[in-house]
Amino acid sequence: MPRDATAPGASIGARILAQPFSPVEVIPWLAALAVFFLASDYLALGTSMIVMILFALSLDLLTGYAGIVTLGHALYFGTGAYAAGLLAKHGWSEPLTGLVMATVFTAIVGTLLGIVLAELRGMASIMTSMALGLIAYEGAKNASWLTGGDDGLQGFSMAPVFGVFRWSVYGHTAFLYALAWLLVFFVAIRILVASPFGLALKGLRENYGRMQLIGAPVRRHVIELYAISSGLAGAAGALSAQTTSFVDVNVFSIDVSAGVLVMLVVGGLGRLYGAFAGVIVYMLIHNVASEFAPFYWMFIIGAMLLAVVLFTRGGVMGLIDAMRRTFMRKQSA
Amino acid sequence: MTEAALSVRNLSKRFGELAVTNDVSFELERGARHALIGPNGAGKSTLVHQLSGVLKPDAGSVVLQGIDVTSMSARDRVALGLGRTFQISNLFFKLTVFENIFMALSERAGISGKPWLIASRQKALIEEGEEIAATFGLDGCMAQTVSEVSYGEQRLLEIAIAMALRPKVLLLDEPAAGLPKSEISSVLNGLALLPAETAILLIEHDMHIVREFATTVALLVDGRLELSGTPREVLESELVRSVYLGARHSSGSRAHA
Repeated sequence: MPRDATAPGASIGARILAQPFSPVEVIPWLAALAVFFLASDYLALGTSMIVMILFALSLDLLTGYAGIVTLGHALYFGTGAYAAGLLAKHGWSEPLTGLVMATVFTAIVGTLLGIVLAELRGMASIMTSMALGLIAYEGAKNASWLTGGDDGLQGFSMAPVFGVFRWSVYGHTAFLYALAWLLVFFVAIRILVASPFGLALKGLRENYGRMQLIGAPVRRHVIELYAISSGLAGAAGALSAQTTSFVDVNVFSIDVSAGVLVMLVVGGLGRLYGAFAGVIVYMLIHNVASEFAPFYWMFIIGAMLLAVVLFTRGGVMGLIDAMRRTFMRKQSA
Repeated sequence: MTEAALSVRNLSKRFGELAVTNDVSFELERGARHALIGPNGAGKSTLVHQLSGVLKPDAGSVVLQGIDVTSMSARDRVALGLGRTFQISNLFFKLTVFENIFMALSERAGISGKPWLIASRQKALIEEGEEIAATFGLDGCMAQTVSEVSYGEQRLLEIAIAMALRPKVLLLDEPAAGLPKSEISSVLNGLALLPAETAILLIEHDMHIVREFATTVALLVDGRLELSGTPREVLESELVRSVYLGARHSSGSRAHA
């Protein structure tokens, strides 16, 4: 991306603003490919991790970058999931266009709600987002003619990707399909974060009032952010529906909204890779813990969250940073 | 273009019984270097807040380049060319000095809503930002976060951000507040580099800065403009002495600019 900006000769200002790709960033993608080739028993878990990473990334833009905390992000995940599921169920089973349509639809919903939410700050915004999420949850439960109610939306299947790659029970297609979308969206998010808009989001987080006084159209920024963040969350929901051929009505529940926030905090807010680290750590612990202690896994997650909040700055990614600094210091000593 | 850059007419504001701004009127011509002085509690900051749109006046009007902005938001006034700095540093403390400047530039250039642009490739804006940083002696600390740089540098960054917005009228609210004497000269040097055509209203306590910077001075006491004239006339008047030495003035020779 902004590679030329880091080249020698680039001005200091350009170098300060540049967020060049680093070779280390290949690691998660290589790890994903390693899982694909070497650990195919875990493809289903891997696919759901990819879905959650995209969901957590969408929240990171809102909460990590712009500092807008929400307990209603499941609303967009659920909207995207049902949009993709309903499209497939009613005859539009081509996955790529289905996902794009679900994403755009959710972004429109997010923009409309964003117009309202942009008026609110702090606790009022948190409570309103949570209330909107609860309304969607109850609505989806009761509109069983459309959503399948408590039984969830089922009885649909996706057409092969590009008309060639069939969705097998082993989940190879689903895994690569989800991974490819994550890569596409991640590159877009990476550009966004390096853009003047990305910088403005940090400005909103650091000093909302001052943003207005440098002439920033803060409402417009926030609405634009809601459009983008909700669209990405909708894409994650659509991926979930398409790869599992099922939509659980609980996609709208507050557990999902709170869960993704916990994952993000565990991983580290406002740095994109926190979404990767948080989701992987959370879901691995969930997976292992629920095997050994099916009734207590929430306890373990809770203890982990406490440990992160009390002992680390910036979650797992913050911890990795701290370790790397200590290592560098020892090297140079 | 005979209209004033900023024209304030009969501005009044009460906090309960207290008239904090009492029928204040004045004009700033293009390129003006006007200082507003007054003791603590005279209503200087309240006046700036009304000019910049943070507070709404009870009566009177604020006209910016012929446009009545009295009922406009602070943001809209910025868009029309009204800049200000803050008495207490109001910056983006966890971002770098250069990011602070660039953010203001990208808002002014109207590219802050474009998530597909790469900030580090906006060559012209970056160069402008580097020039502004150099003008205010901040080129050495551009990569540091604001919380890491000295208080004096933060004061200069306040002015640098205001300049990045290319204001027609600039309100400087005690730009050297809280600075040790030794660092005041760097702020004065920065002020001297502001574009000549910008109309500037300086709110200041420090008579040394006023004398160095302003061509006209007005005195605000108890929310009322009491005197105005050249720095020599105003600073050496009996009224200023009595007000600053704490002796209450009984009658005022009122002179509205």
